[in-house]
Amino acid sequence: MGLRPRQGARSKIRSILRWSPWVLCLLVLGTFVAGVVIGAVTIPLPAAVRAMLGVQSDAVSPMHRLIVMQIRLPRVLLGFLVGAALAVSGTAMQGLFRNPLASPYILGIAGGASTGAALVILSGTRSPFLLPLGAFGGAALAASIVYWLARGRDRKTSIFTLILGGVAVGALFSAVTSFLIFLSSRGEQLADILFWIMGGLGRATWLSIYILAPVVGVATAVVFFFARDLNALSTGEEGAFHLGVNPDALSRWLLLATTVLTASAVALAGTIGFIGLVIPHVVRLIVGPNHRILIPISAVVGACFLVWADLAARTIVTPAELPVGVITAFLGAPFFLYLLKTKGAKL
Amino acid sequence: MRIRVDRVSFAYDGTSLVLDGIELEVDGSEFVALIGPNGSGKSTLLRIISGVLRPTDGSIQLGDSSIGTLSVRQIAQRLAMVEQERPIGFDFTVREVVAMGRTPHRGRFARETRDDQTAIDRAMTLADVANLRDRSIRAVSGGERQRVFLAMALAQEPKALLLDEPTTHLDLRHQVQFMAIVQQRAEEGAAVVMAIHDLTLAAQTTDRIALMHQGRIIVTGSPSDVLTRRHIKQAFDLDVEVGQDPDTSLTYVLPRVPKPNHETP
Repeated sequence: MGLRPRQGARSKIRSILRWSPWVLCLLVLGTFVAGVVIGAVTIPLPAAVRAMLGVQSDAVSPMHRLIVMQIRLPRVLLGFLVGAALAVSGTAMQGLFRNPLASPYILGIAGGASTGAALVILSGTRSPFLLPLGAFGGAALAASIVYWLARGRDRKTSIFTLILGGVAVGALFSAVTSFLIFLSSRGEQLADILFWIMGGLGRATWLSIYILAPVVGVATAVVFFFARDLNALSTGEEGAFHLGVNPDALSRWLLLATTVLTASAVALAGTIGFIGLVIPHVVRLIVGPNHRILIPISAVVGACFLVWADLAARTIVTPAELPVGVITAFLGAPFFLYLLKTKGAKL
Repeated sequence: MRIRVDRVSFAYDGTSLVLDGIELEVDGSEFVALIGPNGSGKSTLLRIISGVLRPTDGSIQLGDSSIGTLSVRQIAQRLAMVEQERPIGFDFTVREVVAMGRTPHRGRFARETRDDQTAIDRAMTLADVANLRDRSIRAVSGGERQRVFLAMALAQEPKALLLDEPTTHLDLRHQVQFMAIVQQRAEEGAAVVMAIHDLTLAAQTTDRIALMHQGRIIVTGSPSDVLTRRHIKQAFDLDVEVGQDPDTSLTYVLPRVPKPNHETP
């Protein structure tokens, strides 16, 4: 245990931070280009750039323009937003609960959202607005119930009750969803519900970007605002109090911000797993646990990871498409297990 | 800064009193020990003085202000706490943990000022953890960890220091070293209140002792006045030997451990 060359390793890791802004910029740019260019039809980079800039040119066919502007670009941007939202939400939850198993879905949000989505799908409407609204409503309802359960008479929130209540409420809503699936008589509805639960970026539209971008921006800013307080909270709730941080106000704001982040991500992309659990751990191992650094870098890494996972999901079995949740779990779980085995003590 | 505890009573569930009409005043530069058996209310009293718990009755004054009028941050600018043990959720370095002590003095997004750095370095040197600065808080021993949290409290530059069984995990040498640091903080003007089980250590280091029993302070005074066989029998229901070292005239307390009875009935 004491034999690990910790000091040297740590200072080397900290020096990474000095050039990390450039690395992250390159990562985002590379991910963006790959996401727009690669797919069932490969679009040459110059053509893609012209299409995005709206330059009229013979080199850009109307077909390419359509694919880039109406399909690939919204999809890549949605991937960035949803990935960042889930990673930031997971970072905040792990910091708030001081529990490495905390994820964005800890308040029963996944179960609530799936019930809302299943209800809308079964109702048979074809309105593109109702599905996200139903999922958002279900997620917010589940989180509110859990929060209400954990709220004591003294207006303090019990972290312990939040975790257990989240498990129970999530299970209850999942049972309702299973019942709805059982009721669904038509095969296509069943497929719709299952595909939604597994998560995907296939419903990306410009409208969804316009709605999601400000929401994710504001909620991420709220989480970042409390970064220093999350550091203090790692010494426990009373520890935070002794450092001048009110743990009740902190948990109220963070629960609100993470619920908004997770519910809106889930509303537009389904319940994509593992990003919110794994990305914060991976980034913490690389840059350390200081939330002022951890939160922004997790956002960027989560965003890029989801776009790459989506790229894999839509190219591996072309022309069909895998649910992206399958890819994130397929890549995320083994990597997480590897980290557990090699660096378990530090998680 | 003076701490004033004014007729404080407290009940966790609203019925049975854990603290019953506590009166206590601790001046700046004064080092006071709270002693008493388990469950006598020492930790509860410290948590009330620190503002974590609100008294059911009575009030706490920190300097000129009542604690109820201060924000959490204002309390932390005046007062620091070292418990027997503090959890730490993530793999922070020792330097990062000590730097957290500056939280109440720093702006939310402010970088470390020179004042911050001086306070942090001084605290780490005092608590003898400067050589651990880049180590993970999870990779240091229990005793080292406790000194890191003392350094964190010192970096906070508090005018009042509360300690709850702080030396439980320390070896003898570091217990003495720990007490010397706390005594020095008191000499520099801090009001110090410490709950402790080691009566001899309390007698040798503090200016005044308050003996607690069933939520009341039954006697307070100089160590030699409070640590008598009668008082200790009354509070702990235990026979002890109280003596004075002939050279230093320091009081010590020896419990009488009854010999185990080996005869079979």
